[in-house]
Amino acid sequence: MLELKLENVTKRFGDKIAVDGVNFTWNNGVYGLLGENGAGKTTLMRMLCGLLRPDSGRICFQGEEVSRMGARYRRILGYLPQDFGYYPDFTAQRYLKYLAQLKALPPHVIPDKMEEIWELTGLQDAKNKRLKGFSGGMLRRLGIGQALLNDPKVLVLDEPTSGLDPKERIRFRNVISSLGKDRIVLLSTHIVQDVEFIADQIFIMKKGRLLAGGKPQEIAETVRGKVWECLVDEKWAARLQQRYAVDHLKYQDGQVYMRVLSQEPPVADAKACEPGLEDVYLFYMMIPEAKDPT
Amino acid sequence: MALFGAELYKILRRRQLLGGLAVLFLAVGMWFMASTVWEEDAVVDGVRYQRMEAIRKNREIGRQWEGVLTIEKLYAVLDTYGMALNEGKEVYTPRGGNWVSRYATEQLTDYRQREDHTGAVLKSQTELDTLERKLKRYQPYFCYMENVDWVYEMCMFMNLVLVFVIVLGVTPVFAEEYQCRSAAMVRSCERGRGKTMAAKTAAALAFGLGVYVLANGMVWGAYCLLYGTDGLSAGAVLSDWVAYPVYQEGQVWQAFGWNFLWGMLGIVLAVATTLLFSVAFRQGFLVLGASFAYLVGGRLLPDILAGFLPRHFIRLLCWIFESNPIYLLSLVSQGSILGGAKRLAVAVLWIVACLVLTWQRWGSYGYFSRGNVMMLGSKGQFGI
Repeated sequence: MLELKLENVTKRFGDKIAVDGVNFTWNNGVYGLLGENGAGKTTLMRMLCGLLRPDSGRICFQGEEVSRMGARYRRILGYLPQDFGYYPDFTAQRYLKYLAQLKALPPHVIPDKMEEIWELTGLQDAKNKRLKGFSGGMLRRLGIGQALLNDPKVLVLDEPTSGLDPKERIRFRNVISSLGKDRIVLLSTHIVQDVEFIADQIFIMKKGRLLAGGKPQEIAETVRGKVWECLVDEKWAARLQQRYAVDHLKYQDGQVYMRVLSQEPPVADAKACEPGLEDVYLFYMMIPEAKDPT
Repeated sequence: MALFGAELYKILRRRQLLGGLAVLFLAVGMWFMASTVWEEDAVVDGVRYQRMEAIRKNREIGRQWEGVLTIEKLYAVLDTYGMALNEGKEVYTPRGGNWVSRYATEQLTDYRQREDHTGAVLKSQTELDTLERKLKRYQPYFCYMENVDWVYEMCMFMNLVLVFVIVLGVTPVFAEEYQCRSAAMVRSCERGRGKTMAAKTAAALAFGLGVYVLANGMVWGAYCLLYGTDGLSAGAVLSDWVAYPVYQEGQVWQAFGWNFLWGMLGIVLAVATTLLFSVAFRQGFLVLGASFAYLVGGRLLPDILAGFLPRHFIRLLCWIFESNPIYLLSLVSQGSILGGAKRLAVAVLWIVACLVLTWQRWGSYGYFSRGNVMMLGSKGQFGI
């Protein structure tokens, strides 16, 4: 069983605390990290990849600090950064080969491994094209492919579905969900659907802290009784939008259907409804409490 | 090895760089031919020879006068051939005489100071006595050394341009990784730190030294092919460019050989410094600016400050500036306050310091974006 452990990991940049005392242990499986921009997800992921040094705390893999492991840790690491970088004049083939060399794949293994990646990413026909001619989705697929080159035990994907169309996102989800069996997969996103069906556990990050974490159904329960649906006129809808976190809003037959997050019913005839992951995410992102609109 | 090849490819794939080098080599080649072979002439027994024929004739005559050069030999040359003066009145008419007679005329008369070379008088007795003392002290070997000085001067200019071209080529070695946003991915790979840094450094050095050796090899190779190697055996003190006393004792090939080796050290310095700037500044124009400031400032600053600062301050500054790449590229013609061993030590320390700092920024755990706080949260920017 693999183990990646964070012990009170903190990272500051000047006065700003990007990651604030994060404690957790990850074992085999797929973990989703949800949070808005600036929550600290990327900083946390960079620390997991050894690109940033925590100001305090430790990150340990199989009981050993990753800072001491050095190249041994990077051997089992696969990383797709949020801003996926490439050399525009390289062909995909040359680029992937370069990364294979960086990942210390034996030369006789590289051609077969690359063929696997072309098949996985669906880029067989584009492998001899220059990267500057790739679409955003193609680049993302290439990025995912390079992260899998060395068959990593720890796979860190920072907003991997950014720029992908729905079909590609579904394809990506299917690929990732198959990987979680014998490795630790951590993927960060602010699109709930990307992790809702594939993550074994989901964490919500805000202002550098992990606010909630657990199986999707478990954390959905944390906002049971806080998710309300109601049908109001437009004037009320505008007031409710100002005062509460609104998950969903739809105009129908002169009225407005709203799904609202609040500790108490936003209007008298609001009904409590079954919470979903998106509700959880929104709830944690939009604290403090809503006020009575009357 | 594969990583070294990949990094070297990344440097050489830039068409503008290769194009620039090709243009430089072509320009130097044409300049070489135009200012040497195409201008060669000799007048022997009233017969005018030009180009390769002139070189062959001059070489023959040079062999007749080979040996230790004395002032008596120079007078004997003048007695035999007369002064090598222009026959016409225009400035750019062919020079008179052959190479040996021109050499003796230049050493003994004010021939060089006269723009049109139509007349010349013997130098003052003081100057002639100084020349005689120099020849007695060094007893230099005299032989056909036509255009040795000119080729050295050409190489000096070429190397000056070359070092800036090399800096241009090395600038993106690390900076490109940040500008293309591939640094994070590369550094998270097993070989992405120390081995990549070693490969990048080796590739940059291979590029810099390769270009330097190739360029100088081509020029001197062409010289030897066309003029023969006689001139390289001449006493170094006979070359106007060997001003550094330490190198005046030996032969031209030794003095210029040392200059070439010091130049190689200068290239290594330029490469190491540019690599550090590349990983520290991360943007091409900043790296270039810093590198050019280092090259030019380091060379000019002592000369500028010499008039203002006390001598012991200048001596202190020399510990830094005598290991400037531009200074090292033409060391034999400049002299030194420090001396060889100290200069080498300073250069080696500088190179080691640059490489250590480069490692710290690229290779060490956790050092990634210190100082990039202003990029926090910038969408699309490389940041935290």
